Amino acid sequence: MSREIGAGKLFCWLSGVLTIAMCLGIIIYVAARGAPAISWDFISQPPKMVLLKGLSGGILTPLAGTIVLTAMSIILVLPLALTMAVYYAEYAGDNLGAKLLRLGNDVLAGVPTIVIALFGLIIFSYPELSFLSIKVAGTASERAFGRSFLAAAITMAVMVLPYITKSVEEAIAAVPYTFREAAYGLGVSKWRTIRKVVLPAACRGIASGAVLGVGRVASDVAIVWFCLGATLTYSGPEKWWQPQNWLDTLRSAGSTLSSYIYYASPVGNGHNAEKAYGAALVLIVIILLFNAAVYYINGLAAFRPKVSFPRRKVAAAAAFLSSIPQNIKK
Amino acid sequence: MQETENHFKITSSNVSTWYGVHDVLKDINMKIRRRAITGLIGPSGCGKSTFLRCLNRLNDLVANFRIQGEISLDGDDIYSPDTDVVLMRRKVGMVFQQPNPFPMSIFDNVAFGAREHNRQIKKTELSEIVEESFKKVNLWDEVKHKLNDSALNLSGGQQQRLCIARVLAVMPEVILLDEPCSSLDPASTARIEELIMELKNSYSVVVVTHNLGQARRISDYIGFFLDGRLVEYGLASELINNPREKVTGDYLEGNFG
Amino acid sequence: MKKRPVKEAIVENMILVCAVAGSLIIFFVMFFILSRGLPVLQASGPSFFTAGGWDKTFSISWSAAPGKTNWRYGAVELIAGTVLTSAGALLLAALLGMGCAVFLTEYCPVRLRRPVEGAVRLLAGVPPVIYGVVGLTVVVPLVKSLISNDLAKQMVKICVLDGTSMLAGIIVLGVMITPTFVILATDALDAVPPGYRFASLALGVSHWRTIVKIIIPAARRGIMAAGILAAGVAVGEFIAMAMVAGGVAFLPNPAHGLVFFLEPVRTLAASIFVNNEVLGRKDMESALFACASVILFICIALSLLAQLINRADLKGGRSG
Ligand SMILES: Nc1ncnc2c1ncn2[C@@H]1O[C@H](COP(=O)(O)OP(=O)(O)O)[C@@H](O)[C@H]1O
Ligand SMILES: [Mg+2]
Repeated sequence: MSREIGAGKLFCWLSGVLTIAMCLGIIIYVAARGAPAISWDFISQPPKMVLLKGLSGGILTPLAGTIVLTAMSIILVLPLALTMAVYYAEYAGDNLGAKLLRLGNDVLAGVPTIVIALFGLIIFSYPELSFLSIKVAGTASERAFGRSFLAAAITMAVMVLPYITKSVEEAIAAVPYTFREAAYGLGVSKWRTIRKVVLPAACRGIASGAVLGVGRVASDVAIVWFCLGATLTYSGPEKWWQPQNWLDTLRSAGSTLSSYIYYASPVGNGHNAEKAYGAALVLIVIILLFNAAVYYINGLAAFRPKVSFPRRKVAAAAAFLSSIPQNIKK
Repeated sequence: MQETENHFKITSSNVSTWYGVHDVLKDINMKIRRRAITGLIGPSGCGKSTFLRCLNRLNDLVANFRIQGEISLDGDDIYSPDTDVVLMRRKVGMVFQQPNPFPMSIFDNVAFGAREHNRQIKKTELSEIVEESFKKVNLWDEVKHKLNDSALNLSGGQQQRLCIARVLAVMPEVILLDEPCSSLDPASTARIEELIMELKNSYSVVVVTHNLGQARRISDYIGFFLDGRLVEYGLASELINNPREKVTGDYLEGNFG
Repeated sequence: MKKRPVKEAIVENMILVCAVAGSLIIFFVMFFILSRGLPVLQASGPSFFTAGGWDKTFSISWSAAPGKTNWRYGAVELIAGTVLTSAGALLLAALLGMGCAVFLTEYCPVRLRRPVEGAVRLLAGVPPVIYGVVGLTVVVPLVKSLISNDLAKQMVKICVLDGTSMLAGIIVLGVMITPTFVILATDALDAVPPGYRFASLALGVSHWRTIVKIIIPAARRGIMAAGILAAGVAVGEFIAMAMVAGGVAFLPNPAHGLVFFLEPVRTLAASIFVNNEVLGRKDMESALFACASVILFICIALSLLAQLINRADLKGGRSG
C-alpha cells in the first residue's frame, strides 16, 4: 500500500518521535528530580537562607506569593480585557483607527515581559505612586521603592491585557453570525444580544483566555524580579495572615515560585538544585491543575441547561434560521 | 447483443463495507460498462457515495473503514496488496459534490496532476494538455485570459468544470462524479450534464445523483440503491419505464426519499 | 420602550471608555519605553548597533564620578547574541516542529494523537525558568563535555568556555519554542479543507506529494504565523538565556571555526535582567531602555509581518 516510505516520511516520523520523547523526557526528569524534595515541611515552611549551609526551608511564602499575585492580576485584568474585546469585536468595525488599536494590541502581546517589567519598575518608582509600595526614606532622589504585590499585580495585568483581549476577541468573532442575526430578527438590541447570546457562546474562549493569563503570570520571572523584589525571605508584617496586615502585606515585597526557582538554581544565590526542582514540580502541578479545573468547569458549562428565557428563545430562533439554507436547497 | 467480460470496465463482486460497526454496503454485485454513463440513484444515506469512493479506494482514508469482496478494474483486483493505489487512482478520476479547486491559479489547478505524474514534462506540452482539458469542458474561452488568477474566484459552475478539467488532464480511463451538480444553479447544471454526455465517448463514467430527472437525461444504465443494497440495475430506459422491483417504482414515483 | 436605549447607550459608552483607556495604556507603555531609550539611542546613533564593548562601558559608567554621565553605548554583542540564538532556535524549532506537525496530522495513529498533543501542550505551558534550570543542569554539562581542557586553556584569554554557550542557548531556546510552533502549525494543517486532500489523492498523486504540494502550501500562512510567533518568543526570552547562554556580553567569532558555537553570548533581553542593578542611574537606565526599545522594534516588525502575511492577496486566496 505505501511504497512511498521516502526520506520525507522518515523525517516526519523521526521528528515526531523526537519531539514526543523530549516532552515526556523533560516532564519526567523534572518530576523525578523534584519528587524527593517534596515533603510537608517543604510546602509549609518559609525559605531560609543560612550563611554556611545555603538555602534551606520550604516554599511557603513563594507559593502564597504565586497564588496571591496570580489572583490579583487576573481579577484586575479580566474586566478590562473583556470590555476591550467586546469593543474590538463588536463595535470597532474595520476602519483605520480600529486597525491601529488592534496592531497596538498585537505588538504589546508580543513584547517580552522583561520589557514590561522594566517599565513597571520605573513607573512605580515615581514618588507619587509610593502608596502602592513604600517610600524609600532618606535618599536625595525621593523615590518610591516601586516593588510590591500591588505594583507587580498591576504590571502583570498590563502584561497579560493584550493576550487575554486577543483571545477573547477571537472567541467572540468565532460565534456564528447567524446567532446575532437571529437575535436581531427577534428585535433584541445590540447590547442585549452581546450580553445574552454572544458572550455566553464565547465563554469557552473567555475561560481559555484566563487560563492563558494565569499561565503567563505564574511563569513569569521578570516582573517578579523587578516589581515584586523577589526577596527570598518575606519582608512584610510578620503576621501576614491577619486581615489588618493585609494591606501592608500587599504593599511589601515578596517572591513567587518562579523567582524562587531561579534563586535556588545553580546560578542563583541559593545554589540548591534539589529545591529548585522541587519548586518546579510544584509550579508545573499548579499550572496543570488550573488548566484541568477550567476545562472541567468549561465542560460542565457546555452541558448546563439553558434556563434563562430570552437566551432559549434566541437559541431556538438561531437554530431555525441557520437551518433555512439547507431547507431551501432540498 | 451478447455481452462479454470485455464490455465491463469495473466489476464489483460481493462488496460489503463497514464504518466501524455500522454496515453501509451489503453484498453489492455490479458490473460497470465501458464508455457508457452509469447513474447511481437512491435516497440519501443509502451508500451511493460510499460505493463510489470504494471504486478509487478513497475510503481508505477513513480510519475505521472496512471492506470485503472484490472490485476489479479491467480484471485486476484494486484492493489486492500488489496494486499501487496511486497508479490506480490515476486511471480512476473523481469529481466531488462541492467544487474543490486547489488554492492555486487556474492554470496550476489543471497542470498540477499532469506535472506530478511527469515531473520532467516540458512547458509547451503542459500548456497543451491544460488548454485541451479546458476545451473539453468548454471552459477555455472563459478562462484563457486569466489563467494566472486564483481558481477560487471562479463561479461555482466554472469551478466544477475546472475540477472536471483537472481530472481529464491526468488522462484517466474512468471518471467518478458524486452529485456534481447538487451545489450548482440550473444553467450550470445543464452545461455539466451536456459535458458528461460528451465524456462518455472516451471514458467510462459513473455518476451519483439524487435528481431523477438528471439520471433519466444522462444515464445509459442505472443502479438503484436502497439501504446499502443494490436493489435493481439495468438499462436506464427499462428501469425507469417498467421497474422489476416494487420499491424501485415507489421511489421513482416519489413515494419516499 | 423608551428607557432601555438610554441605559444601553450608557453601557455602550462605558465600553468605549474602557476600550480607549485600555488602548491608551498599551500605547503609553510603548511610548514610555521608546522615550526612555531615546537619549542613549540618539547619543550613540548607528554605533549602538555596530560598536561593541557593552560590559566595559558599563563598568566605566558605573564607577564614574558622581554627576558624570555617559550616554554612548554599543550593543553589537547583545544584538548579535539575540539574532544568533533566535535564528538558531527558530531553525531548530521549524525543522523539528514542521516534521512533528506533519507527523501528528498525517502519520500519527489516531489513538495516539490526543495524548501526544496533550504532552506537547503541557510542555508549551512549562515556565521558561524551568527550561533554564533543566538546561543548566543537563544541557550545559553536555556542552561542557565537548570542550577539552586544552581548548579551554587556549581560549581563556579570549573568553571563558564553561559550557554556557551559544550552542546551549540555541538548544534550550529551540526546545522551548518547538511546542508552541508544533501546536500552531498543527492547527494550520488541520484547517486545510479535506476536499483538497481528496481531490489530490483522487488525481493519483501520492500521499507524500499531496502533503508537500497541496496541504503545506494551503496552510502556509498559518505556518508562517507560527514561525513569527515563535520568533517573538525567542527574541524576548531572557531568564533561560541568562542561565545557559553565558553571562558576558561577548561577540562570538566565526573565525574560530566550530568553537564559535561554544562561545558565550548574551541577548538584549538577558542584559536588561543581568544589568538591573544599574536602575536609578539615569544614563545606564536609558541604555537598558534602549535595549528594550530595540526589542520593541523587533516586535513591531514581527507584528507587521504577521499582518502582511494575513493580508497579502497571494495567488491562492484563502488558507487556514
Ligand atoms: N466517514 C464516515 N464515517 C461513518 N459513517 C459514514 C461515513 N460516511 C458515510 N457514513 C454513513 O454511511 C451511510 C451511507 O452514506 P453515503 O454513502 O454518504 O450515502 P449517500 O451518498 O447515498 O447519501 C450513511 O448512513 C452515513 O451516515
Ligand atoms: Mg452522497
